[in-house]
Amino acid sequence: MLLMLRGRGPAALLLLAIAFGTIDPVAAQTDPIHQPDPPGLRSSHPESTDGSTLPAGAGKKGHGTAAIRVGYYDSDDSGDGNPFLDESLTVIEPIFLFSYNVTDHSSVWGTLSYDRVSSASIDRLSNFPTQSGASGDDYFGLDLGWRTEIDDDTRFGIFGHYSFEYDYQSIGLGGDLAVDVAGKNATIKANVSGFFDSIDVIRFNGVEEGSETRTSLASTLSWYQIFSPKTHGSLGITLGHQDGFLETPYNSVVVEDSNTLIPHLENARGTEIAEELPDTRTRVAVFGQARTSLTDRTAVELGARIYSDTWGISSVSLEPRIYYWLVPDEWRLRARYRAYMQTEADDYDEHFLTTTQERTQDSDLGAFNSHTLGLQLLWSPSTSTTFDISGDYILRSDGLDEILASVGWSWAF
Amino acid sequence: MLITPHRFAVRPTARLLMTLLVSAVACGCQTTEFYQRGRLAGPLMSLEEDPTETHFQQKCFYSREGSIGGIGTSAGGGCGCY
Repeated sequence: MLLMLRGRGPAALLLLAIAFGTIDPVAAQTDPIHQPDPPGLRSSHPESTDGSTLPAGAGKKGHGTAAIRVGYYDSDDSGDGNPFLDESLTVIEPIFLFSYNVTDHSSVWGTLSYDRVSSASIDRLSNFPTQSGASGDDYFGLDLGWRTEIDDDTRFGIFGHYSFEYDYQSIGLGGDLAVDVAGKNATIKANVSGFFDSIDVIRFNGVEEGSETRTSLASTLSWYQIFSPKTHGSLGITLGHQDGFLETPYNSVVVEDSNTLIPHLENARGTEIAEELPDTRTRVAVFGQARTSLTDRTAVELGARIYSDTWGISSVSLEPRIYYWLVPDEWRLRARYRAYMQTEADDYDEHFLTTTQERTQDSDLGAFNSHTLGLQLLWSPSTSTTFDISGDYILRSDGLDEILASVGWSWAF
Repeated sequence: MLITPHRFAVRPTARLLMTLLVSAVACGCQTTEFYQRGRLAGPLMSLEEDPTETHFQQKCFYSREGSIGGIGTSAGGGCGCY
């Protein structure tokens, strides 16, 4: 796929984009019974959303949604990536979501999540038994929000966030404003968020360096557009800025020296020192998606994202998807492929022979590409209930392959 | 076959994608009447995925890639480091 992008891919992509924008509007489906409002902009599609995960907004008073999902993530270290560290990682995350329409024009919502994280990096801290939570990490997160319709074309929402781990806590605030324009053929949406984190710095060797802070501000502007009766999409830009302690506290760097053996690390000779990274980081991401209905049972989508930041990382991703009703309105299959390419951060190196002021050997900040293949099967036994099961395999060029799987249930009442 | 990633591969691809995204929006701006949007309102065409799935995927991708944004509201923060 990536080879195609560098060769004949551009022509094929251009044709696809043109097709998305110019599908015959005369072949419109006229279905006045169906709910005619364009789907909202609270999309959650990776790489191509307006940047919000807020659940659905206003509806009939007294109605709402409840959803539960259990996610499983596993990354294995096959010996690539950081040559000195086992970077394997496993996460199990149950999530509960609830939304309720307090009036016909406003709703409240909340999410509660818990992560059980076990990783080799965290396990290293078990060498220092005085550290709490050293054999694993428990994350608890709570989000609460409120959304309202100001008028027929305008919606407004705010949210608050709180999460904590044994060495970390975060408070977040944000809001968004969406305005329908052009006879509801388009929606412009802006949202802002700020996260204020506090981190107890516990280094790879168990040394505690007190508490540090991190501030993350982000703003997203997006445009949703109906292209034709069968095609719609969105385009957006996210600007983010972070300030404060941006390292991963327990990450380390090995400055190689053949004369000194480092205990606890395999094949490592030299001096192990803490990761150091700049205290600020500014990011920009441009993303978009377009989905078109090919038949009553089939829809295809193309999503893409371009990203760059002041740490020197640039990335592109491309994600085609296909949605297909195996049994109309009951069993739906989603298949997706995601291609991702990333350049390395300026301060990243696989091997350090001298001590530099800023340095990291974190493979996630190195150059790699990945290919993701994923399937989701969704079952709607009734109009109010859905079950889904999904799995993705991520093949990374640095050998740190990943598996994502989740099972979800949602109920509209 | 995997391509060795480097800046020269990423940047031209990024420029191409930017051009395509803007082109797709620009050439698609034609009015679709209220009564013509039935198919877009169906579940097969909803651009909204399940928020719980987004929550999970956002955390996984953001934690293991150097780039974020475009998924959910947070562009860093609110989520611990794995």
